[in-house]
Amino acid sequence: MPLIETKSLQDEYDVIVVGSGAAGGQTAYTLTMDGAKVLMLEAGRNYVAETETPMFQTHDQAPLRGNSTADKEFGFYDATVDGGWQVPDEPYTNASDQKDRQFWWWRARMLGGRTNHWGRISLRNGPYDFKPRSRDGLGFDWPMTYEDLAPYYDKVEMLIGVYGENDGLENTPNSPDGCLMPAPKPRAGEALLQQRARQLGVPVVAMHRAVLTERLDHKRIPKLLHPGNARAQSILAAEMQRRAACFWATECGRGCSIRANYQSPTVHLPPALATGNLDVLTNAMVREVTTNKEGRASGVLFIDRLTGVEHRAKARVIVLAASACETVRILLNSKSKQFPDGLANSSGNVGKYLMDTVGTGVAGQIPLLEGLPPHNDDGAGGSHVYSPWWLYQQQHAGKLDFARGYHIEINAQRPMPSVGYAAGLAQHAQGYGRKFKEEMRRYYGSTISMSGRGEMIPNEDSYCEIDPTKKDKWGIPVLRFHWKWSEHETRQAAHMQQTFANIIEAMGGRVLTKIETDGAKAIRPGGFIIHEVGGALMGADPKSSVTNQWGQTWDVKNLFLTDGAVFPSNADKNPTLTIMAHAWRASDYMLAAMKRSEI
Amino acid sequence: MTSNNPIQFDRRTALKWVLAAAAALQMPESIADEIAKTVAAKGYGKDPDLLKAYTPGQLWPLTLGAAQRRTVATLSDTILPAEGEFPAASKLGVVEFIDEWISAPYPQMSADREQILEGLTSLEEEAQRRFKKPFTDLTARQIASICDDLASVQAKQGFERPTAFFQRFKQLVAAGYYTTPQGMKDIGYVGNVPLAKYEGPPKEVLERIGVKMV
Ligand SMILES: Cc1cc2nc3c(=O)[nH]c(=O)nc-3n(C[C@H](O)[C@H](O)[C@H](O)COP(=O)(O)OP(=O)(O)OC[C@H]3O[C@@H](n4cnc5c(N)ncnc54)[C@H](O)[C@@H]3O)c2cc1C
Ligand code: SF4
Repeated sequence: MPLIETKSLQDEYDVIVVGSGAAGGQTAYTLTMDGAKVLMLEAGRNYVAETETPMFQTHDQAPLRGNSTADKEFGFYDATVDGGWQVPDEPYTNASDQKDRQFWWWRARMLGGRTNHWGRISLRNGPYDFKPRSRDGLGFDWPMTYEDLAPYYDKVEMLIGVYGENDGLENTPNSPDGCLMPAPKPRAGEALLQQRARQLGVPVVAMHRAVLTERLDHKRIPKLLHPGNARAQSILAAEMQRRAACFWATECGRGCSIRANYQSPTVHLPPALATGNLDVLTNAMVREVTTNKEGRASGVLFIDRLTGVEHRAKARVIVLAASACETVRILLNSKSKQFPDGLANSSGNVGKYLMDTVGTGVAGQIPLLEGLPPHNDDGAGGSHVYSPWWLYQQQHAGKLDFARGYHIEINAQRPMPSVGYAAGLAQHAQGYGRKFKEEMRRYYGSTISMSGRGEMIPNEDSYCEIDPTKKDKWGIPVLRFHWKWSEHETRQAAHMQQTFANIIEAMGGRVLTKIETDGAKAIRPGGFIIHEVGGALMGADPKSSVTNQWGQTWDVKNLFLTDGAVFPSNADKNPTLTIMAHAWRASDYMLAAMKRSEI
Repeated sequence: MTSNNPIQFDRRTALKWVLAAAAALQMPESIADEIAKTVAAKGYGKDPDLLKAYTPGQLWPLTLGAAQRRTVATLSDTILPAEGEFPAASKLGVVEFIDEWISAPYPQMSADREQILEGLTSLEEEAQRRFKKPFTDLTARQIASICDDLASVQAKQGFERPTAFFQRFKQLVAAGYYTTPQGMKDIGYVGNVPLAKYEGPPKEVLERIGVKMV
């Protein structure tokens, strides 16, 4: 990736974008394709998926056979660089030592951020998800409707490439024709689960993931995405041709050297750079947004991570897209006489209403899947099917003891054995010698797991603020987290546990994990699902919200937030597709406002 | 987050369990010292080269002496012996893997270190007690007589710790073996090769599980 150095920074840009992940990538893409001059600042190092991805490496080539360690928590070959639950030199704190009140914060310090190793699950929020408060009186409504965001979901799906099907299920929107790519067929285990779960009334349909199951249509799509912009069309058409279709092997979490799945550095950044309108500076850790006398944002102050030297950059518009919590941190650290409580914080709500996803899992062993003829089911490197939430009506009628839904992520395949997988099977395979080997062969591929991913309702006790004393290596004050689940979440987790046990039973299997009837014991810690959003909510009222529906802060007109910080709710649908749709919509608004000279 | 691992889908819980189990055991002092020493060694950090092939001993010093390595080899090959085209565990680097594992400067592996080293010692003691010979000099039948006692699901009285050792050792042997290309083939994994098309499960597989696909 062609990058600039600090010395070649231009005097002023149209827009500075902080962060290069899903939000920063989409923002820079939309802006530069339309001609804006953009500087992207990324705290992590440069990263080149085409040359750095260990595509076919087998575990025996890695230290500890690739097992996870404190250095690489999702395994040696996971794409994360300089990241994890703890990042050296960049601590955070939790206000409470109580186990159930911790927040875990996963970060990655690399070009593209967490989009290099994310699961690629790309689900649209449905109409209910934008108006949760109107439906059940809890949480907050979005200051927009599904219809407002839908055209941007269409565009993002076409740009990045998402496989999936239209099932017409409640609050699980169909995409217009021409948006989705064909979904891969279910694997054997997935197909069996589908058959049996359906008998219980649980739908199992094609997963939606950002993986190209065929080449992108470079003739049709660029015209639809950039009408009237011939240059953007030709740049995008050329970049689309440089992306290959998935070749049905290797794990997406390692990254994809053939650019068949979505990562910001392989999908968003190449066309943006090809416009000549984008400068990317890595190892640039933004500390604060600077302001001028009129109370407008004037630029940012950042620290070169390699030298520790402070620098400034200037722009007409500043966009924070550093991931929800980092964006909040930058706002709160941008203190001045004019903004003593941090920037854009006249509501006092910056940092408030942090949300994650409710998560819990159950594993099972299915005799019917034992000893199947060996066959290749690597597939698209992730799930081919999932269960969207199916109990909207019962829930609305008050028949459930929790307010919001969850979906089920399904894992049922014949994976390349990892240390954890082989050790797990060995726990169940009896004896030693030939008998043991036979049992290992028999059990291989017969275990499945289900993970619930549910909506958390924002609450007063889950938030982050600046730690009064602690600073990171560069002297930047760090975040302190507060966390609490409500019974809506813990009861939902208990419902997941029971449902998954029922499905395993319907498959004729046995449950391998302990089924928890107490959801508080089953629920994963806050942040653990790595779907953190909120902290600077959008809303209709400047008194209670931080931004308007375009991520424009109420207090500072030329300051925008395009990541998940602005989410007023966190639907069960994984957040990233919605982050990108919002970033695109916000960027369109920015472009129009700049053209009107409003900002 | 999505998990890619059906069994160990919650690594955190597993890790906590391992740590708790380690804390519950009394540690002989000499071993505790050794653990402290290993933990002081450096890991590979948060940005290692992912394309390079690594060998045990390259990143941190190993632990096992020649005699211990022989014991590990004998026990590993008892658990996963050669069979047809597939070599015995020790031929696929399992001994080196276990040595690398128990020597690693990470908490999860350090927790295993004590159990494995202690288990190897008690295995030697058991061989001496029963047969007055080192474990590696025992006949296959003699080894089996010891392993049969350790491999039972419910630990026999007085065998709780050796049984737990055997169980964990077996897991590590399986981990080392089935993560090699030969081990993967042995267990029935097919893949990690580029395909032009993904066709879904073969017909005979769907028939076996009684699923019709549209
Ligand atoms: C293992 C895993 C699986 C996941 N699976 C899914 C999934 O299947 N579906 C889904 O929707 N979501 C998934 N997610 C979540 C998804 O990764 C995030 O929602 C998404 O990456 C958020 O995009 P972002 O741009 O806000 O943040 P990021 O992708 O984290 O990017 C933020 C970037 O900003 C940089 N940055 C931070 N602070 C500063 C600063 N002060 N100055 C300069 N730069 C800074 C960071 O280094 C980083 O590169 C998963 C996450 C993980 C870790
Ligand atoms: S499964 Fe497909 S998309 Fe995923 S990494 Fe492999 S080739 Fe790329």
